[in-house]
Amino acid sequence: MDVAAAFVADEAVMDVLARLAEELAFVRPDSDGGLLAVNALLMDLEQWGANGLPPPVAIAVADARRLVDAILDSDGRFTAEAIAGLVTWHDWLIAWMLDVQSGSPPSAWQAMEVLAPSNAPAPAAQPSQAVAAAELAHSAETASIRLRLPDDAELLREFHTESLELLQSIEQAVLALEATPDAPDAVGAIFRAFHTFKGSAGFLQLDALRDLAHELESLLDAIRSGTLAVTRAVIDAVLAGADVLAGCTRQVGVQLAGEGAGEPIPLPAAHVVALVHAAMRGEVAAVPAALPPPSPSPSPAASAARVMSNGVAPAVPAAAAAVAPEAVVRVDAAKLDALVNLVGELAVAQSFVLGSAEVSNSANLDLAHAVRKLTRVTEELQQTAMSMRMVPLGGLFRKMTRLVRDLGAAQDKQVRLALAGEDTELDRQIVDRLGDPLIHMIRNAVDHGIEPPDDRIAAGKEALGTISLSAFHQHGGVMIRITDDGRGLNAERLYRKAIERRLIDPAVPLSLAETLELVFLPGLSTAAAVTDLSGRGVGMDVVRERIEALRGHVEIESTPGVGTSFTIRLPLTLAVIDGLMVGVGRERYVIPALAVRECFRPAAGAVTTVHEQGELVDVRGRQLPVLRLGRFLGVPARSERPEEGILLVIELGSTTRAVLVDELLGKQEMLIKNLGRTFSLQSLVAGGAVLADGSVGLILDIDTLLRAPRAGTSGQAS
Amino acid sequence: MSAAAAAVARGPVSGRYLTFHLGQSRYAVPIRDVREVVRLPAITAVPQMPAHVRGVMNLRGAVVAVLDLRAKFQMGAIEYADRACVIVFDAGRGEGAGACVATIVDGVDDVLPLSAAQLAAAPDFAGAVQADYLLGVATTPEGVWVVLNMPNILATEGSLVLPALTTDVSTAFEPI
Repeated sequence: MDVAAAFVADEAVMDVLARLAEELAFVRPDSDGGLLAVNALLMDLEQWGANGLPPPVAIAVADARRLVDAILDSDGRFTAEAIAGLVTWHDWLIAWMLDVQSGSPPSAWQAMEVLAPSNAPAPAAQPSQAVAAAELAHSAETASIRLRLPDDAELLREFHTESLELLQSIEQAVLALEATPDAPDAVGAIFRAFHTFKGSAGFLQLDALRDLAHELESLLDAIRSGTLAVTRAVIDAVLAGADVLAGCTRQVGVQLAGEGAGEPIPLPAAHVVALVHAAMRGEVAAVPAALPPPSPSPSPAASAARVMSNGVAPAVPAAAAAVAPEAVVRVDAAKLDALVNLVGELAVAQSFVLGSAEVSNSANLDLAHAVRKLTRVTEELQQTAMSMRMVPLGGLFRKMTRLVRDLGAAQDKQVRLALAGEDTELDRQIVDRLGDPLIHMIRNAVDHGIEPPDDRIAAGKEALGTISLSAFHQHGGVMIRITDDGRGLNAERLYRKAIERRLIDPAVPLSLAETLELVFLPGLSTAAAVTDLSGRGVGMDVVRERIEALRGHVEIESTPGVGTSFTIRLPLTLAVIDGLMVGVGRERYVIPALAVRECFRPAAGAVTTVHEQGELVDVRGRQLPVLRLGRFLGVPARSERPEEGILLVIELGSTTRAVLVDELLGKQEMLIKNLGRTFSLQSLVAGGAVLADGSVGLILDIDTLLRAPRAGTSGQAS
Repeated sequence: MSAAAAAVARGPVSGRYLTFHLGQSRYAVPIRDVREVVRLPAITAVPQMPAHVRGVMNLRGAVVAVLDLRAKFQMGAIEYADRACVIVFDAGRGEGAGACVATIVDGVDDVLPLSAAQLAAAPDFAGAVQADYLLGVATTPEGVWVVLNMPNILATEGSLVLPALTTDVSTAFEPI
């Protein structure tokens, strides 16, 4: 087997090309996203085989490497030209491989000018002008168009809508034409439709599309002027043309919906043009049989498109879905927020009505019925409104796949990201703000967690490191876990550093868990070397801060040599809290129910005072420290003895504490309101909620309660 | 500071002013800073905050911080009477339009149209620091008001010392 055949037959090559296609589909001008991955894949390709690549491929790959090197040497951002060049290069390589496979003489690589980084010609112009210039009837080459997204998005949307209407009118007119061959109205309608198509495509610089519409328009013009009769051949040509335009329109719809935006859309127009020319000459359709039909055509663009979709069903079914009336409506996020807020207000007003003496004491059955209905509708409305804000975590997670690949490639580490629970839904606001901390933790895992392959093998591990990112529901919230199977944290070094930097008191012994917690302190990094990709300025302290700003909590576990795991707990939404209302003295406070494990009235003597540890309560064998909320807040409590009050066991991660309050007043969903700048410096109150009586309830911050100094340990807390 | 804010900081401009009092001291604020005036609402105290932060109130569904202007200006506390009310100010400095802060005052008096001739820049004795909190002094046949720069006052943490201006000390000012 010669080198070329071996190359073409190698599945690893196909895999690299498929991944390249995928990367190229995602790269954007003025962005560095994917650059490292593309570079790494090209390097993989370059190193293929013991005796090197087949000669034409070697030259082409070297050219592509030069182009990427040029980008890496400059500002590290793709240019539109560079992307176009790489796509053309990829298309060529696929075509070359298909040619070798089928035994036809492969086309030569002649792309130095295409790949020149600075003055590369515009992408779409090349193939389409070639299409226009060449005698298409004798060329199997498939033209393509490339949408300028997002710049032209608005125009393309109009074009898409308009095209759908035009295609419909063409179809109807063709049916009319088949019934009555010389129906002038139908001919005129088709002519105008193609003419409009031509104009719009030309305006959007979709040259190949414009050229095709022009050919079809000419055909109809000949009929309109009477120089050509409507024959079977004419109708076949019109229908074939309409099919190609419809296919293209579908693809435009798909890209507008955000899938593969910027990818070239193949326009298999050659056979249509051939049909048109044959019809113009008065021939019956002998030509199409001679030409390959569009779908199984192994033309470069078509196969490129197939490769790009990377084994996933090609875009056409998705396109069909896009054309069919979708049951999805895009809504402005601000409007959605406003709706959720209003529904929250409604719920408050509803509970006010429900709680008023006039209503609850009324003997009017109709009123009672109406109130019940109001309650039910309000609840359903609230649930529906909340669900509208929920988005799955999958999108965010998949971005991390890219990140891991890029980082791994940059550091010569073999890392894969395993995802689980991508369907788990969270409030959009949380998902939006989760990106940065998640990126940081994933970077940490690649940079500091996963070892280089040699070290891993030396440690008896697989060379390929695994980071798993999973999400699941627990306790009415969402848990996100990031686990790597890397070297784990060096607790001893953390501890030494913390003492070195005077962040902790060497006299106080720390448990392992407490030592690992040190990683969240500002100004502590155990990284031997700060890589260029992580650890600049932001540390785990910022990660924790960001997550706590989302009313979440992050915990760390780590075993040396086995790996590190971060667990993030988040509420489902930022807008609403399931609040437990407690009374202390004459005040009422709200405690997030998410953190409350249980509430009970302690038996007399259950709370004991232990020297140096303050008050403890025995909860099924566990001695939990007691925080008297009234004393902590400086509010006189009614229950001096614990058995007169209620203990709430609150828990966050591995910290548990019992909070003593006077009474439990109820549990309800509350709309969380920001307290504003005046309270931005305190951490005691996480937010406010408008209660049923119209007053404001304060939502206490669980973390602050758990970290509050215990009264009794060092005299008085406040 | 924007050009408009800088222009305002140099002194009061003619327009309509809301006047109120704390004890004997009479103050005026540009009406454009005022969102609304409401009767003293139920105020939820926020623990562990300085004395001049009274707590939060519900303003038609929004939670708004309530400051005690007496405490802020280090004046003696009183039991607020019937006339007491809160003035809700737009504190929108770099925050969304929804950012409001309310202050309790002893009573709101009037809305006065003041011309440029009735307004003077803050007198020198107010001192450099305090000048940030004063727009100037308004003098009419009915009396004298200290014109407050509420956005600056509300943006300042902690309490302030303002000249408690009564008609007795109004002679300290030179009318234009």
